[in-house]
Amino acid sequence: MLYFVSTQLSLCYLAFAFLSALGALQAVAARYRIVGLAFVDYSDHPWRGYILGAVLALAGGLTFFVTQWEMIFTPGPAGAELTILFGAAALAAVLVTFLLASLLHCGRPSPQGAVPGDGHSVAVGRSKAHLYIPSESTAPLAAVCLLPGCADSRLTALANRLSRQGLVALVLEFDPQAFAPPAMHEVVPAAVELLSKLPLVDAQRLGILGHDLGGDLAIRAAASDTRIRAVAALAPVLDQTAPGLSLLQEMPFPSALRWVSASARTVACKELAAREHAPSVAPRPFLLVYGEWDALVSSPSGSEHTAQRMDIPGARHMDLPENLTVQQTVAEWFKEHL
Amino acid sequence: MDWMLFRALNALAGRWPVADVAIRLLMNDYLITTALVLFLFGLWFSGESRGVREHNQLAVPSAIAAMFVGNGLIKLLNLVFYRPRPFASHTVHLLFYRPSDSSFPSNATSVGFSIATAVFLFNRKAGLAMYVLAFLLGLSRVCGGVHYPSDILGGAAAGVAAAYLVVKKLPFLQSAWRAVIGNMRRWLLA
Repeated sequence: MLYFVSTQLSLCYLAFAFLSALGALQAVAARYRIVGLAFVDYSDHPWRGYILGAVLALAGGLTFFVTQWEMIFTPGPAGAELTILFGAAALAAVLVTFLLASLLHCGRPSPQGAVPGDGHSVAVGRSKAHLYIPSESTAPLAAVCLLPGCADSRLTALANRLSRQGLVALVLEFDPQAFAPPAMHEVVPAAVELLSKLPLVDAQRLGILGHDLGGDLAIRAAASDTRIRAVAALAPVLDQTAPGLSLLQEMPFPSALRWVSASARTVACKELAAREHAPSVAPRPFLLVYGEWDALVSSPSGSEHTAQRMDIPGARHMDLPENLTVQQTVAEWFKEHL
Repeated sequence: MDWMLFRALNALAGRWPVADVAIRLLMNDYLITTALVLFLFGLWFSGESRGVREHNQLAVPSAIAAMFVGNGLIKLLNLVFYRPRPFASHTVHLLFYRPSDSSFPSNATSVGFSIATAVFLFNRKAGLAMYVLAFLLGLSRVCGGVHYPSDILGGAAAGVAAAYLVVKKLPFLQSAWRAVIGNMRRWLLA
């Protein structure tokens, strides 16, 4: 039979354990850049997380030890009761952290907002797309088709960068129906068809770029379509594994739950089998880009592909297309190879 | 020797009010034990990569199991052996209430060392930090007059043995933890 001795002491201990657990989670979020646990964006200033963590733990400690100082030195709850109190407090702290981190994450300005999309809307088969045409270059121009891998793939800034480099860029909008088998096999041929028929595009200089599962789609399409002359894949999935808590390094808990429950991704990844088709891209130029902090996909070993490999320091999976180094590298790479 | 060491350490109590507050802060049932469990809680979410995180996560159920095994060992020992507390037979500076259970071995120290050892076997850095906390808990209990130094040694030995048993000698437990962690990973909790 559980006996908590004093309700007041138990409640104060609960508050102490709860605030300390909240603080510990903030320190961990700052140390390991876990977006899904962070109340504030700690990526540039992890010390903020350590300070917030220490303040929360200190507040909890003061609440308990100052108010209960005399009670602490009388026989109190035994180990089993304390374990239950700490367990309840830790569970509450995790739930509150998931909820607060998610709400505060939504309130932060999206990096996409800084780069407005100014492409013309076009239809590519059943999908919508946006066409970015350079304002100053003269025809015929090289063109790149950009494929998202999920709703959070943000390719607008990259398309703008390509168009500033004198390349035509066609960004497809992510559509869960169009990017699922078997319809997804029609996406790239339709896009290539559209680009090659544009009067200002040189049909002999077409490239393709994909992010996340879009990278897998780009590899698969290029393996069988010789009209594609260069391929760049930003963090292609290649093998679908259960990312677990690592997913919280990229997104808040509710988004992460939606991500793992989307079985269509697993099906699409298996169907594309990009790892098996990657060797068929050779001898065409093939660029594989991975972020150093990508917690969702693991980069293949160097000897596995004939691709040129780049690892971008400090970049995550979702942020990869918006990383300035990635944009500059990819734009220069396509300029060189198309 | 045990008594001499006890007297030397217990002499630190009752001299300076600040030192008394510090000893009482360290020796109570809440601060260091909560800090140790909080360490475990943070460890669950820690690690640069999935592999490192899983390694850290394995330490958490191992430490909890070690704590229970250590506790069981002490309960068994106390069935056949009872040692009165220092304040029961000597005049001491007592900074705590008067526990009625056996002085040998120290249960609180056993908890501290079982958690610290289990963690140390998976993560040296975190384990060392936890050893410091467990040592402070034991030391403060001698200073505060509720344990002899040999009680602390006995508790530490019980804790270390329990953790070693759980982590190194019962491999089926590690397989069970891995299975649990694998299932929790599906729900983004591991």
